Amino acid sequence: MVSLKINGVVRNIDAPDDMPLLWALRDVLNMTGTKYGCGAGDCGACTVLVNNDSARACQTPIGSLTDAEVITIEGLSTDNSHPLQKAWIEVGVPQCGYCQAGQIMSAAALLIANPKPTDADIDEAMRHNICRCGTYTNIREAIHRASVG
Amino acid sequence: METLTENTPVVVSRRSFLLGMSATGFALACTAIPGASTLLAFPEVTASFEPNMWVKIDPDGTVTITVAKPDIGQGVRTSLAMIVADEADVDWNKVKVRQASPGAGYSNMGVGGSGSVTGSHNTLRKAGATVRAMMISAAAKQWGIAESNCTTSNGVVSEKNGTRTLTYGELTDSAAAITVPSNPTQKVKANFTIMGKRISPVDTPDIVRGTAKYGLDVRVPGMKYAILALPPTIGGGVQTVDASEALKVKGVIKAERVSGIPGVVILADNSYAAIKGKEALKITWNLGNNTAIDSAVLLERMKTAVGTVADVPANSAIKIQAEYHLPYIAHATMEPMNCVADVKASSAEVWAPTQSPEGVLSAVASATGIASANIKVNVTLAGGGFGRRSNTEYASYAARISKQYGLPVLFMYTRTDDMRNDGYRPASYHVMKGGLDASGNITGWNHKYTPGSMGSNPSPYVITSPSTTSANYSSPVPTGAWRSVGHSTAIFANECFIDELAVAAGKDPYQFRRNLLPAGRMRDVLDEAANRINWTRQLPKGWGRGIACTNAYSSVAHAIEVSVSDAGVLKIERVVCVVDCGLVININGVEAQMQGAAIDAFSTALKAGITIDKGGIKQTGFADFEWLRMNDLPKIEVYIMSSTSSSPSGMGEAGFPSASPALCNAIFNATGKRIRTLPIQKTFLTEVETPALKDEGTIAVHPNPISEMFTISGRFDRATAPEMEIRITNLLGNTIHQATAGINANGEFSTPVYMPPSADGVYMLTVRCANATITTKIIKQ
Repeated sequence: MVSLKINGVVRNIDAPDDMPLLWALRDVLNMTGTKYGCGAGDCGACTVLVNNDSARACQTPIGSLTDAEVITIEGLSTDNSHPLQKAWIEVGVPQCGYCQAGQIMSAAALLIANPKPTDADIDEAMRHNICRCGTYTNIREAIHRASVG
Repeated sequence: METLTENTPVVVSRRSFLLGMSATGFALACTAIPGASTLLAFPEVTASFEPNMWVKIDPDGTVTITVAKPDIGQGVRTSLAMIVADEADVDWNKVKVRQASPGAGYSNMGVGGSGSVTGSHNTLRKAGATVRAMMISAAAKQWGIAESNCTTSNGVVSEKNGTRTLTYGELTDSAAAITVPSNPTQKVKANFTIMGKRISPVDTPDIVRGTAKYGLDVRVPGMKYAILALPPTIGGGVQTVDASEALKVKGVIKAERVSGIPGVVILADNSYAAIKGKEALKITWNLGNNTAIDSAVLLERMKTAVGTVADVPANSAIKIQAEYHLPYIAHATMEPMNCVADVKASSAEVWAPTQSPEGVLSAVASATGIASANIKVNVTLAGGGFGRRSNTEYASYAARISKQYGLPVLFMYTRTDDMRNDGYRPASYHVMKGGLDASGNITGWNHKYTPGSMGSNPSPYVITSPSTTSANYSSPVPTGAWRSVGHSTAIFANECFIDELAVAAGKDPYQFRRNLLPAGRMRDVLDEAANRINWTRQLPKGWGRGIACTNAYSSVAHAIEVSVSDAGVLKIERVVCVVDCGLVININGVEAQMQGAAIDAFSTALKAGITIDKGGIKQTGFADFEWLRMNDLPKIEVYIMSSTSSSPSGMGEAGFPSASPALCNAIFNATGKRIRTLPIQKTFLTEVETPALKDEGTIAVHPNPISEMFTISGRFDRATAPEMEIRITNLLGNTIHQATAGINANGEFSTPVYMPPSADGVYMLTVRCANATITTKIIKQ
C-alpha cells in the first residue's frame, strides 16, 4: 500500500512500489486524464506535476512519491477556470486531443517557473511533448495567451 | 458546448419520429442505451422535436446533433455539427454532439479518403434546413401569418415587421405536427452564421480537464487488461511458451495462446502487471520465412521491378534522370490501437477508437459468432488515426479475449507492438526521366515507380504525353492506408523532378511550374504561395527557398524557406501553406489539417522511417521513429483562398503531398544538394553524397552555391596523368570556363576555381584526367 497526495487528496494505492504513477492513476484510481503514449518517457503524453515541476508519470514509480505533491490534468481545475484551459479553448488547440493533457501540464510547469515565457522559452520547455497531429502553432499561441491572462 | 457519449441517456419522446430508421433498428437503439427504458417509462417526460436522425431539439432549447463519423482528430464532430446547426439556424452554444453507433439507420460511417465533410455535406445541410423550415411553418401557423413573414436567428422565429417571437424550444410540440418537407430551402452562403467561421473543437472543454474519453479510457465494471507478446518477425509465430514466471507476477491472471490471435495473450488486473508478465514470458519463436528480408533487399527488388524506363525523345537538348526512394512509414498514432469488449453468451458490446465502426461491428461478429444485430459498437474519441484505424484487428482481438475468459477486457498494443504491427505506408522507388528543348520546354516526362498502390498520380501540369507507369514487386511487409496514400510518394517524386527540370532549364522553379498550369484554381493557389513567401526576396547566406503544388483532394501549394549552417544543420525558417478547399466549413479545422499534414510531411522527410531488418520491423517507438517537436518548427502559416464554390473539397490529406517536396526543393536551393532518399536524418548534409553524374571518382564543391571563387576537391578512381582539365559549361553545353590543375600520386586533387561573370543558375563542372571524367552540378547565386 502506497499513500500519495494527488490533486490535494491523499490516496491509498494497493500496488507495488515500482508501479509507474501512470498505471496507478489510470488503472488503479481510474483517473484516465493522464495518457499512455509510449511508456518510455519519449512522448510526454503522461506529463504531470510533481512538486510543481513536470514529470513523466510513466517513468515515476509511485514508491518515489510518498512525500510529493502530484497534480494531474484533473487537478488543474474541474471547471476549466485555469488560464491554460481557457486559452486552449479560446484558441481551439486540439486536433485528436490525446496528447493535450500532457502538453497542458508541461505548459503549467513552464508558467510556474516562468510566467512570461518567450517563444524560445516555450520551445525549450515543450520539446519533450510530441503532438502527432501537429498542433504546435496553436499550443505556442495558447501558452502566450495564458501567460498574459 | 457539451458533448454526449453514446452512453448518455437519450430521451426519445413519443411525439418525436425518426425517418429512415427501421423498426428493429429503433428497438435496438432504445434497449441498448442504458437508462433509456427507465426514462421512457415516465409519461410526458419531454416533447422533443426530432424530424430526422441527425437533430433533436428539446423544450429547453438544447439542440442535439448526431455525428455518424468517428472523430480521429480531423474535427468532424465539430464541422459536421456546424453544417446542421447553421442550416437549422440554432444557437451554437446550445448544441450538444451525440456520436452515432452503427445500425439504427446510420450507414457509411467509415472515415477515410478525406470524404467525411464532402460526403455528408448535402445530407446534413438538408437535415438542418428541415428544422428551420418546420419551425417557421409551426410559428406561422400559430400566429396565423404567411411563412414568408417569418424569419429565424439563433434558434428563435421572429415575425418580420412585428414583435412576436417564439423559441425553437417553445415550438417543439407544434413543429412535430408539421409534415416534414421534402425539399426545404437551404441557406445561401451570405446568410451563414456558423459555417465559414473559426469554431473551437467541440470536445476541447473535456480534453483540457481530462474528462474526454478515448478508447483506452473506457472502464467497465469487472474489466481486465490484456496485451500481447507478438512475434519479432513478419509471418513469425509461437513455437513454445513457458508462462510459469509470468504467472508469478502479481496481478497476472492468464498468459497463453488464444485462438485467432497471434502471439501470446497476457491478461492481468492492470496494464503494469500485464507488461511485467509479458517481460517474464519465455517464448521460443518460429521466425518464419522472411528472416532474409531487409530494407536493402526490398530496395533491390523494387529497382528490379522498375527495370528500364523509356528514354525521352532523342532530339531533346537536355536529358535528365533521377531516382527517388521513400521508406515504409508507420502511423504511430498517439493512442496505440486498442478496444474494450464485453462479450456475453449471445450479445456483445464494444468501445472502439476506430475509423471503421461498421468494420468493427463485422470484425466482432466474425470473431464471436454473435449476430451483428446483437452487438453494440460505441465509437469513442480516437487519439489519431491517419488511416491506421481503418483496420479493425484490435476489435477482433479484444472480442476474442473477452469471449475466451468471459469478462470485459481492455486490449491494447504497447507502443512497440503498435509500431511493429502496423499496415505501413508502402515504401516506393521512382525512376524519372525528363527532357527539355533548347528553349527549356519539356519534351518528355517518363515516371516509373513501385508500388502501384492506392492513389493516382494527379499531376496538375500540362505536359505533352507524360508517361506514368507502376511496377509491382513482392514484399511481405503489411501495408495500409496512410494519410494521402499513394500521393505521399508519387507527388514527392513529381514535385522534386519538376524542380530538377526547372533548374536544368535554367528557369525559376515557380515560374516554370506556373507556365505549365492552365489558368484556374491550382495556378491561383501557386501564385498565392509565391506571393506570401515573397518569392523574389533576396535571402540571407545559407538560406534556400522551395515551392511545390498539387491538386490532390484540394488545391494546395507550399512555399518554404530553410537555412543550412556551415556545419550542415538544417532549420526550417518559414512555412507557407495555401489551400483552396472550396466551401470552408471551419477555419480552425482547415488550418489544423494543413498544419498537421505539413508536420507529418516534414517529420517523414527529415527523421521518421521504418526499416526492415531480419524480417522484422526495427523501430520500437518515438525514440527511433522520431516525430518533429515544437522546437523543430516555425509557425506553420496557413492561407485559405476565398472561394465561390458551393461545395467543400477534402482537407484531411490535402496538406501532405506537396509539403515534403517543397522542403527538399528548398534544401537544394540552399545547398545545391538534391534529396532523393528519405528520411534525410539529422546529419543529412554529411550523408548525402555529391551527385556525380558520371562518377569515375568523387568530387566536392565548396561552397555550393558558388559566387566567384570556389574550391573543388576529390579523387579519381583511376588517374593516369598528373594533370586534369577543368571545364564549366552551361546547360546548353557551351563552355564558359576552362583551366587545368594538378593531381597527386593517389589521384587526389584540391584546387580553387574561378567562375567568370555569368547569370545565376545551374552549370555543369567537369574534370577530366586522360579518359576518366567526373561531372557535377554547381549553382551560381
